[in-house]
Amino acid sequence: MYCTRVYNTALGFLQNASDAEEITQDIFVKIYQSADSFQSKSKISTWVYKITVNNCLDRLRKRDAKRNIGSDIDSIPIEDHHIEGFDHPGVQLENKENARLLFEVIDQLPINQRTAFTLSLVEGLPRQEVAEIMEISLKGIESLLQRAKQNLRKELEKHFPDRRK
Amino acid sequence: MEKERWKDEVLSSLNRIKKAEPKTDLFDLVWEVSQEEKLQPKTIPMPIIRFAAACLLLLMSVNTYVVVKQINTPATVQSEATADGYTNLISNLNLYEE
Repeated sequence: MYCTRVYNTALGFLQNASDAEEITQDIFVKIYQSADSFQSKSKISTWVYKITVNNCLDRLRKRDAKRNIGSDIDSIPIEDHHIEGFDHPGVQLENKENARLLFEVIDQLPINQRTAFTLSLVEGLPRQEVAEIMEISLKGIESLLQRAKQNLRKELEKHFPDRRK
Repeated sequence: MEKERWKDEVLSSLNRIKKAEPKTDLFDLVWEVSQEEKLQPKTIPMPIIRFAAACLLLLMSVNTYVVVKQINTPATVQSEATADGYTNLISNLNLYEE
C-alpha cells in the first residue's frame, strides 16, 4: 500500500528511477527496523512520508555535495546546475516536454520550497498533511508554495523558447 | 502574455499525473533483508558484559573475604570468653586441702 507512495515521492525528489528504487528499499528496511519507535502521535502515512522525505533530502544533499566539490555553488553558472531532463513515467504524453522542463527548474528550488511543491503538486497530498509532514503550519506551507511558484516562473523565463520571443 | 501563458502551461504539466509503478520485485529485496536480520544472532554489547563481569567479581571477592574471616576467628574468641566468664569464680580446685 505504501510502496507506490514512497516510490513516487522518491521519484519526484530524486528524478531518477533507479535511485528512487534503491532508496525505496532502504526506506522500507528502515521502517521495518524502527517500527517499534512509532508512537501513534501521527498517522502512519505521515510517519512514512517523513522518513521518505528525510531520506530523499539526505540523498540530494550528498548528490549536490559530490557535484559541487571544490566550488562555491553560487559561483557556478546557472547552466552548470542543469541536470538531464527527467521523464516521469506517469506524465500525460502531451505534457512530457513541459513536465521535463518543470522538473529541471524544480531542481533549482531551495529545499523547503522544493519539498512543499513536490509533496503538494507532484505527489498530490492535501496541504494539511504536507504541513504535518514538514512540521510547520498550514500558513507556512501556503507561503512556501507561493514562493516556489514565483521562483519557478522566474527560472522558466530563462527557458522560454527563442522562436516565441 | 504569451510567455505567461506558456509558463502556466509548464506549471500545470503535472496535472493528472499518474502514479508510477515500481518494479514487482522491489519488495522481495526488503523481505530478504528482514529475513536475514531475523536469522542473525542477537549480540549483547561488550560494555554490558564487562559491567556484569565486574559485579560478579566484586560479589565473589566480598563473599571470599567474609568466609575467610569467619574461618580464622572462632577459636581465640571462644577461649577468651571462658576465661573472662569464669576466672574469678574458681581459683583453687583442691577441696580437701589441709
